[in-house]
Amino acid sequence: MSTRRSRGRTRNALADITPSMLPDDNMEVVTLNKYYEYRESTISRSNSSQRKRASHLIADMDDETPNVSSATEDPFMRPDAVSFFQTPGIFKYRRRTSTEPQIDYFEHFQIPNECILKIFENFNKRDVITAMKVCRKFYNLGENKDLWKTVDLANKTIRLVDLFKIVGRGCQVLRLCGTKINEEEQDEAMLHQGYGMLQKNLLTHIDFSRCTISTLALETILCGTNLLQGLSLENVNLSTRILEAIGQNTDLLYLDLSMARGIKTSDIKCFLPQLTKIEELNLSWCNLDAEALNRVMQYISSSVQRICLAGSRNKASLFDSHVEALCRRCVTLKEVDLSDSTELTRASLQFLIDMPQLEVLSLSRCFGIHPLAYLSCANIARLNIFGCVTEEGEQTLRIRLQNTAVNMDPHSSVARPTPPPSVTSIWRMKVKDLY
Amino acid sequence: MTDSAVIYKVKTIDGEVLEISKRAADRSATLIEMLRNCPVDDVENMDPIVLDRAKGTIVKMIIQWCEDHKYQPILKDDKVEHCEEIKNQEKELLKDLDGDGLYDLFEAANWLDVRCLRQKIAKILAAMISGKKHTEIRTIWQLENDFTAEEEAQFSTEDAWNVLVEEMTKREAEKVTENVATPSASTSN
Repeated sequence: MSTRRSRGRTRNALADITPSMLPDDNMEVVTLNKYYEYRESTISRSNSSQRKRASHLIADMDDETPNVSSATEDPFMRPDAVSFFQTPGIFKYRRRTSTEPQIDYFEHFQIPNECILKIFENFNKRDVITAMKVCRKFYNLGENKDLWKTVDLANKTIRLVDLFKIVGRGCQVLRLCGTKINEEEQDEAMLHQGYGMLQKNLLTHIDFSRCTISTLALETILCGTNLLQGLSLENVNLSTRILEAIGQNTDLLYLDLSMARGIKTSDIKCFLPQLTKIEELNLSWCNLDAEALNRVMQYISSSVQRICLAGSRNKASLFDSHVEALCRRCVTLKEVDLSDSTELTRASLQFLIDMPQLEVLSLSRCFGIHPLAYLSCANIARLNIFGCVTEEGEQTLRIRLQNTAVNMDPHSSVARPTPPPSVTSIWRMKVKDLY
Repeated sequence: MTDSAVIYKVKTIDGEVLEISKRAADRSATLIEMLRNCPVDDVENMDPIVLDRAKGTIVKMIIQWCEDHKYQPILKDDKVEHCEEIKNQEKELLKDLDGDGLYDLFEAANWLDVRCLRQKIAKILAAMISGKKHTEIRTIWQLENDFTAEEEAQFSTEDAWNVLVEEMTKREAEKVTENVATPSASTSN
């Protein structure tokens, strides 16, 4: 019999016929048949996958939705429209358990396609994909680019072909931080043949930080971009071709290449001169040597407002001459982060302080600059010099520099796509699904 | 206000003549177009506007909805707001409907271009199949699977969103069966 608490109705149905009442074998058969009937009607309910039982338990305990438990539990009460139509998003991670086919029949040829699209607009990506698997018509409707404008795949695993499909559907804002992109053997062969290389895509903001992707796949995607405004390749392996592809996006505003590997000195001129509108540039920890930094200073656009060049090669490749060139060229700089550059001296500090619009200055662990020199930083709103002064020194600075916030930001957020307080948006573009 | 006094007559496909106030009629872009193309001089004795694609019951419901919502702002564009709970109003709407009625209402709301109502019904229909597997959607909406076997095989059974969710629900299920006594194991948004 049922292991769940029995309902009054079911018990009475069988309690009417007790074995003691049966005088002969015929009646006993009737009893058994009635039992089997009852069992069959409840079999679909007690079909237990672990998940279903668990969700049954959750439903019992949760006072918010008595409707759900009543819909799945009681075999004799049909779910009515009111309790059945539930909004998505109440239990974010719980798959809805379904009972047998519902009462309504939907003749699709009555509803125009744009209406079905309206329904799809309320879905998150998972449900759109599920809907696309239903029939060809839904598949074609699901490919509509309005549904795929922003995609959040952070920390997920996806096949390369699926990623290409998403990009091909006209995705504009793509968050792939920490994504693992799986390639199959035929993918590499196809990529070598130039598959997808010539297709232009509509991407405007991509976050590839910490993404596991093959260089060839990355080249293929980036070669098709020319509308990019924000790009992060943090911690990714780069190649010359990728940097050339970056160069063809002349509208680029935010470029984050921190900790990227594979930037050669000769590559700098492949992309930097073309980025004439760049506002935020992060080239920290890219292993750039002095010559590469010379090129950076030569080609960088004067439109840049926030720059981070922390951690050049051996921490000893950034010199005062570079800083002088930077300050001469980019007069509108608002934020400069040159942390971990041990060759800088007081002269650099002077160049920087003289910048008219400078608001944020980070020179953490720049041991070549004497701590007392920081006393002249009164015009700077935020000063970050972690590791340069002792605690007492920090206190002294705070007292002496009344209008300066000293050592408040340990981490740079120059060109970063998701600096706190953002959680999922990249460069302030929302990517979160509806539920 | 003179606006609210103006009442148009509307005739449905099965001959019923219904009344709708001007403000409520303004919610339907189709009605606005129709009235603009054939302006009505004398509202009292006008020939009823013929709506030849909708039945009486459905039009009645739409008129009722428009009248209830006639003072609310009309959506200019079709942006989808963040999902909210379906409010009591919508629940009342649904109570009167049987299974088929909802789709008729949806189609009629689309034809009459009552955007807010269409969006709300779209949300309800979306809630109906959200979270279901594609086989289940086929049964609910009586759709045929017209993919070939090869095409079906191409669909990744482990697409990015499903994998993560399956793992999480498995973990949650395990957690719940372990701590049946503690309701804190259940998720909240």
